[in-house]
Amino acid sequence: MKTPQQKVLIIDDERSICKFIRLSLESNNFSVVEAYTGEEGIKEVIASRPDIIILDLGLPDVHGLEVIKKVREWTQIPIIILSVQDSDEDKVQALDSGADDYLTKPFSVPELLARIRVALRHSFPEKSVVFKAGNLEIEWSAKLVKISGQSIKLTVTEYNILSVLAKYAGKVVTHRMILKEVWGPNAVEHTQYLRVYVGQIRRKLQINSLESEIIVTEAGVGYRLVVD
Amino acid sequence: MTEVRRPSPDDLLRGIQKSTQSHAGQLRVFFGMCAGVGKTYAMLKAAQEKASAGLKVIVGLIETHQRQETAALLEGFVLIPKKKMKYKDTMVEEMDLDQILREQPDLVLVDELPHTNMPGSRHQKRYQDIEELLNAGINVYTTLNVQHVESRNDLVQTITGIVVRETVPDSFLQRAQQIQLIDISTQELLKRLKEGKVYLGDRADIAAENFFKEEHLTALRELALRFIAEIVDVELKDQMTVKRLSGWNTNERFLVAVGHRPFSANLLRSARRMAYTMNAPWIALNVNTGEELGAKQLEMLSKNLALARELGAEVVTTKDANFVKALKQVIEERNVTQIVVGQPNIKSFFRKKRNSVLEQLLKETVNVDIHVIRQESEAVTSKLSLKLPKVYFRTGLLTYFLNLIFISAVTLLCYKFIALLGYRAVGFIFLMAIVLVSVLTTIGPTLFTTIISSLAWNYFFIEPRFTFAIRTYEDIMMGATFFVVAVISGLFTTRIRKQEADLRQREYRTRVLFEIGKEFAAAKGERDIASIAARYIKQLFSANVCVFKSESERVLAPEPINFSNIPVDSKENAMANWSLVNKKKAGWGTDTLKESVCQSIPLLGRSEIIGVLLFYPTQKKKLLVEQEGLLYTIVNYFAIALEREILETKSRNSKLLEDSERLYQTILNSVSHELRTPLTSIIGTATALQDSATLDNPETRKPYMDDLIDSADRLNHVIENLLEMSRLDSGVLSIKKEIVDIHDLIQSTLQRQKRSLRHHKIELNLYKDPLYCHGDYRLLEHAFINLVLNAVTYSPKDQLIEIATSLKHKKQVIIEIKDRGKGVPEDSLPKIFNKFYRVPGSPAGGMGLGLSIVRDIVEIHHGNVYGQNRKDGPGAIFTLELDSVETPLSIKES
Repeated sequence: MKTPQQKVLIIDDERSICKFIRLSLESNNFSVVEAYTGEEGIKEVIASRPDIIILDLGLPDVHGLEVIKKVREWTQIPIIILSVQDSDEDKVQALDSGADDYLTKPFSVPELLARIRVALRHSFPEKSVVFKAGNLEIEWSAKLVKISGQSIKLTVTEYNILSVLAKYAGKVVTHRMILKEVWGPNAVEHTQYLRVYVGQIRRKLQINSLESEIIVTEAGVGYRLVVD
Repeated sequence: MTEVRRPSPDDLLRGIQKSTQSHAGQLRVFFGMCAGVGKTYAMLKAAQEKASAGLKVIVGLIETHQRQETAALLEGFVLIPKKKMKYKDTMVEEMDLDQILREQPDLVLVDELPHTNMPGSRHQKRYQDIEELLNAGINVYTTLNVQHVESRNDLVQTITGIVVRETVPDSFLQRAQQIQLIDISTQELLKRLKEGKVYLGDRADIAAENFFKEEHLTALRELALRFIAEIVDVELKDQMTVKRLSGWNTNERFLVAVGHRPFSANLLRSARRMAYTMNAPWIALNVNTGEELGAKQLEMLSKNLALARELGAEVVTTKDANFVKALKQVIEERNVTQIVVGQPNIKSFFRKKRNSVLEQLLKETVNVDIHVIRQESEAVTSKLSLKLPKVYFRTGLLTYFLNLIFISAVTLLCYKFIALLGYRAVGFIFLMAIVLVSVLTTIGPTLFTTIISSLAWNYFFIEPRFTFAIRTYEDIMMGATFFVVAVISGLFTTRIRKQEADLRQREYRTRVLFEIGKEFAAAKGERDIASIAARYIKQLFSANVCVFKSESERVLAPEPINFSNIPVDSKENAMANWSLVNKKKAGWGTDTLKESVCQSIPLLGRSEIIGVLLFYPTQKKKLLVEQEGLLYTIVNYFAIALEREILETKSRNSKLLEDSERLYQTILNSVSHELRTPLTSIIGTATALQDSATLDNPETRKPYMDDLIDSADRLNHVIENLLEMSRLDSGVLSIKKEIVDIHDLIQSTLQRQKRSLRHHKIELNLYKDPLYCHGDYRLLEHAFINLVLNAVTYSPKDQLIEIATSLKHKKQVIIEIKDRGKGVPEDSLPKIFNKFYRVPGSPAGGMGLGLSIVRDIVEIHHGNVYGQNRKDGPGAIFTLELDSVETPLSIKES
């Protein structure tokens, strides 16, 4: 193994979940630290300085949101939250207060690994002239969008939205974040605009078949631009 | 018809009530022949035993009469001080009922049961106080002498010549679990009296002279002993009824007629004694024959009726001019077997007629025994005027005036033709005029007409004319005939009028009750019924009504159920509550809290008390007996209608509960099956993977892994459906409606469900333009997933599943999901969206929840979902219709 082992902190009160995450991560060359309460978790962030945190929102002592806020006071370590299906509000709130990504329980190990990789990559952003994801290419300097080498004509707004998604490629971007970055802080409630624009972008990118969905809708949360 | 000798449910109930004594307090009466036998002493002794057994015993009220032995026994008991009240400028003292209720003792001692409270107290009588204590669950010991027993009152009066005014109704004594006789011999009592142990000082002599004569005391003692013997006898019968030993009581029923005469009271007591010894119910019947009654007589009548109720009779009032007919009707309706009638020993024209009542009864009734009670002469106060209908002079002055004109006209007419007719004929014309008037008006104007006619005839027509002199006897006779005819026909007319009025009133009453019954039957809901009752009572009695429902046996609802704007103050509220707890009327026009401005009437249903009706009269005039009867009948109707409504609601609710229980059972069965199947598969697969042979071989491992994941997915889907269902059902679900891009929804969902769809080919035919709906993204996604997974479950592997969208009439988004499975049997089609419905013979897996959730979600979105079979071969088509919305904004940008 060339790369040094990266350290993952799991904060979850469910021991069985901690265990299976630990097992699958360790076999993928991560080192793992476990914490079972929010308090413990915050201490462990200071003590063991992990590279990434996997945080369950439903903790016995404090709400996961509090943990995020505390951690974000002094570090930008990527945080992936775990939540149950029916708590969209919590997810959005967590993402807006600084979490990097989320996974809905139940989730699969490949999903978890993919999220971790994306999150870690983003904490070391690569500066590049051209963004590439699947058959999509964006030339930042020329504001040029290409699908399979063919350039696509996007409006300014469409381009802006796509570039926000590309900037956080692989990660979920909440509606709020997109709206804020594209239209400014006063537009954050107008999610319906977004839907129409995203529909528009999808059609222009001619992504209609099942296999090559590049912009994924995360119900109730936001969008994700799929990489690899 | 011979009656089967078997106990009625009431008898059984009474027996059981006595033997179990639910939560009401127990009453023990220390009973003696007269003062001085040692009742209070025995009571205190018994109480001491209870106190030493650890019960909380308090003394509510004890009169020691300064007897030292008695006073000594009082030591160690908590004494409740008497309550001081002001009455007509003097301070009076009464038992402090509220303080006792607050103390909540196990046992309270209250001396002198028959005591009458001072006006202004809560109850008129002490036994009513005790009743309230018993109802509050407090046990009571009390004392009583035989002369105060209502049903023995007249006997005591006959024996001793002393009128005892304070009496206790026998119905109250029936509540006693134990009546304990305190008996000493007459000689012993007289000895104690001489020793001054009974009354102290000079009072002993006075008392002895009046009451404590040896012969009196012996008679009183016998009376007391007999009273106890009767009770023992009845108790034995009660016991037999409960234990079904033998000797059922024959279903005897007594009837006694009650009128306004003082003698009726004696009749009632006699009837009560007989009925009680035979353990039979008895009816006190009042027949209103249309006789006009004066205020005093009315008062006597209501007193007698009240006495009848107190003695435990069922009071029935009917209206019929024919006394015997009314009696006979009640006898037949109620299966009366014994009648008690009085036989006044006065010989007069009217008495003879009364005796003929007896004869008629003997003649017309077959299966009834008749008891005749002889009346002492002093009680007879009837006068002739009672029997004759009262003469009316109520007619307006106008009638008199019109009659005057009429007679003047007749006079004038006759005056013109006197020469032609002769004065005799004129006399007959006047007679005809009188008859005419008597038929048309009442007796007053008739007599008036007669007088002026005779004067006019005499003055204007009889020779010598223009004088009042009469010469011939025929003319005098003629004049007298005027009067006789006038009186007779006037009286007849009056009587007919009266009967007509009675008939009208009876008809009116029947009609009112019929109308109310009809309206109650049509009414929907308690509030409706209450307002119908309130409306009728307002119309008939010009009184306002407030109806309170009971929340439990002891608590009234805080708000009335009818819309009334009467402010009910706390005093009236307390009174209503009292009525509820004691199941008795109180307030205005009753013996309890009679100073109140309203009367509270308990609403007694067939099985339980439903609430209380507050009756606010607008005039302070007491209701007539008939009015009272009508009021209580209406209230009774109302109570029964309300009870019926309440029971209906209850049974509806219990039906609902039953349904939901059944549903719960179904869910439980189905859920446990649905959760267990994938779990079994997970455990099975996982344990198979523990086997190293399987684990090490990637070839064999792969299908196990797939199974594991599939089962887990299925489990997850089951749980999601369950959660969604419970959220949809509970209404907790908050719907976040937003613009939903349908194509985005379909594609994202299919992407996410890739795994579950991997065995089938999916073909997408999307509409050329984007389609938007207004809805909750997550819910719609759930509905769509369920439809797709349904298609997957019910079609074989590798078959095509087509998903198509289109726009109908430019305003409806259509999503079609077509599979190539077996399709749905036609008779199952209407049911497939029902909760827990599964097409018979469908493969294992699924609980019939998926489609019902789809339907619920689509309904929330005011859309439509239906299933049908394909026309072009086997397979089903599920169609989802949702209202489309316009693109929310124009996206024309450079």
